[in-house]
Amino acid sequence: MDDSICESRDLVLKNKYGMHVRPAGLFAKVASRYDADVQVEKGNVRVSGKSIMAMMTLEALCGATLHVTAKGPQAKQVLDELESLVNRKFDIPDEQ
Amino acid sequence: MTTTRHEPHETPSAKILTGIAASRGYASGSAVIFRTEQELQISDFSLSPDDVPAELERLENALALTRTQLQSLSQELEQRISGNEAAVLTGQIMMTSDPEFLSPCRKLICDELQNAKSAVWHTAQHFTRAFAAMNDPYLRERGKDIEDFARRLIRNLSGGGEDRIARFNQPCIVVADDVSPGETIAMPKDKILGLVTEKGSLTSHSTLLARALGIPAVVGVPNCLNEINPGDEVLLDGVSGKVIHNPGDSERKAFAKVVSHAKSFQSFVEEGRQFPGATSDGHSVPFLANVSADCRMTDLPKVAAEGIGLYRTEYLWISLNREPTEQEQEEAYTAAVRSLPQGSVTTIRILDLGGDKLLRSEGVTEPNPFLGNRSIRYLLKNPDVLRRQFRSILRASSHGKVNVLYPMIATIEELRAVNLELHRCMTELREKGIPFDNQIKRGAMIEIPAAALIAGTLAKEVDFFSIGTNDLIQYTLAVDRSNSAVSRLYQPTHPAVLQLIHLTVQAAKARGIPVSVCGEAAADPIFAALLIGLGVDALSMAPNLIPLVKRVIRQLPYAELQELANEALARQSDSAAAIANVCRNRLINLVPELLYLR
Repeated sequence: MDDSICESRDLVLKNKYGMHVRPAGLFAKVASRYDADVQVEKGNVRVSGKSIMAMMTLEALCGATLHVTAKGPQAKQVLDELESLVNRKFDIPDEQ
Repeated sequence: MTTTRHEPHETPSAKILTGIAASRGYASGSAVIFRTEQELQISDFSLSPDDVPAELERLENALALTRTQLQSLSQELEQRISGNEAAVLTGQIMMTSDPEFLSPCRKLICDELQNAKSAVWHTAQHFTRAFAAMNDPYLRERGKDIEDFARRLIRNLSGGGEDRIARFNQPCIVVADDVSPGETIAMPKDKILGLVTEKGSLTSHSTLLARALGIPAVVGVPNCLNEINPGDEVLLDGVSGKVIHNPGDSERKAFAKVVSHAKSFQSFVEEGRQFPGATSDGHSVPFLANVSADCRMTDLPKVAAEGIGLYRTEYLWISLNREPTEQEQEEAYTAAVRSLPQGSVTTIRILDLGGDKLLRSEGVTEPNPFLGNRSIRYLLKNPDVLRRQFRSILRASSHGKVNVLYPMIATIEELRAVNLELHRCMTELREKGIPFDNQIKRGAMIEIPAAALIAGTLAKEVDFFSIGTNDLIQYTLAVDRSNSAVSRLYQPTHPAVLQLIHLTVQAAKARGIPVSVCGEAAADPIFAALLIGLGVDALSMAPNLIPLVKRVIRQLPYAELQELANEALARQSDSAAAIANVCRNRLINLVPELLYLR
């Protein structure tokens, strides 16, 4: 049985201050909730989407494109939720 | 720790260090020095393979302790302040279980036989090095979050789990290279008189926290750790960003004077807090509040706001990232109306968003959003959005007095079109039997120079004007004040700006309609006095600024303000700075306390 779906999406950061500690934490928290491996690429750097610290090192500013790849049974679900989180600017009121 | 008392005769050479005024307030006391580097004693000793399991367990225990400490700090913080800053520690709590951090740590212990402290430090450095190379200053600063976490973990591995801040028991001024967010929060307010740091900026966590906690602070003071020794006397001025080190008698006296002036100015302001806005001879000038949908309306009685002069509806759109439903809007507007005592007015401004925000979801980007399809222009092109907002505002008007305010009016056609839409919505509600205030007042924002120049025509179609000085100045002088290269050209007292305000007021008076001002310029007591002299009927500003401005105005006779305005208008060939100076000097004669306003 092959349950490893692999899907990628490009997400554009829209919150004002980019990928700092709070958005990185929210991103990692969502990524960790699903049964899927999540990798995030920006430029030629690739990090685990489940790591708040690694996500912060991406230096992703507002407007940056993150290439997010999810692999595993819940790949689509995790990408849907991450996409919505990024588009909602992580629900941070000061950064809309 | 010993406190050295300097005898008056042995005055050492006083030295004034300058940094960034980060958190307002004054403090004097003896210095306690913190050097972060000294806190960390990491030796590279290797483990014997037998020690590995115990070392791994030590790491787990330290992680658990770190998590507990951060959780209790985070709870304490949430009780004391709100918003973004409280979230800092949530991130650090997540780091205690970050696989990308913990796996390399464990690997260094197991495979390289490194001790736990060294393993944590090397792994953290791998991350913090990435931050040091970043170009964006805001994100670069965020490396501190990881460093802060790593230091705490290492402290806990050393067994000295306590925050260094908790270790002293005399009130003092902390002088440090930098202070972590956790440490700032843990500072006992009765023991920390003030904070001086060598690093740090206006956006660093410690700055924002010091401000939220009311600890006076000067940050970014170069070389302060070399200049100041433990126990040295320090005078800290968190308003001007000065740190006076080893003061002599004269410096101490001067500082005491500044502090006492600030105190007496504060009590001067407090004296008038609950009185209504008026000049000294009883000419009434209501002081209203500028609020947003996310504001705490409960603060309004504390500053004795006499109504809401500007309710910004944009936040509803921004926070939801979509158009709010009619019901959501009605609830928000009704809550604002109900927060005021009966009889007070809530002026609700319809959506004033830039095309850059409204149209992004439709994939439209505008090269120049401030001159683009924004605000009333967008609403008239999307009449359904406008009607939904009008209907919500009308419904809320059945709960208390409501004015509706139109932003960005530049032409008479726009004003007529938007009036017509409001009229249609009123008819619709009336037919459906939905209650609303038939007498609801309509106002136009005067914030585009064109509107001021045709104010006489506009005045015939509305019940009041509200002058938005921020945009009026920006559009008149072609200056973006957030652009530091040109921000000095943003001049409220520029003769052209004063003329436009004068024209607007005259046009309103001729029609017998009131004019208020809701821009930030109204919050400068001297400019506020000038506005009242020019004939403005009410001032609206951020709630926390009301007590100060109102107190100054209550000292001034109306006739004097009219004279002041006449003089300012007459000085057409003077510079904005010269006009501002004239106003200041005239008013200081009447309200000497203004001298102490900083």
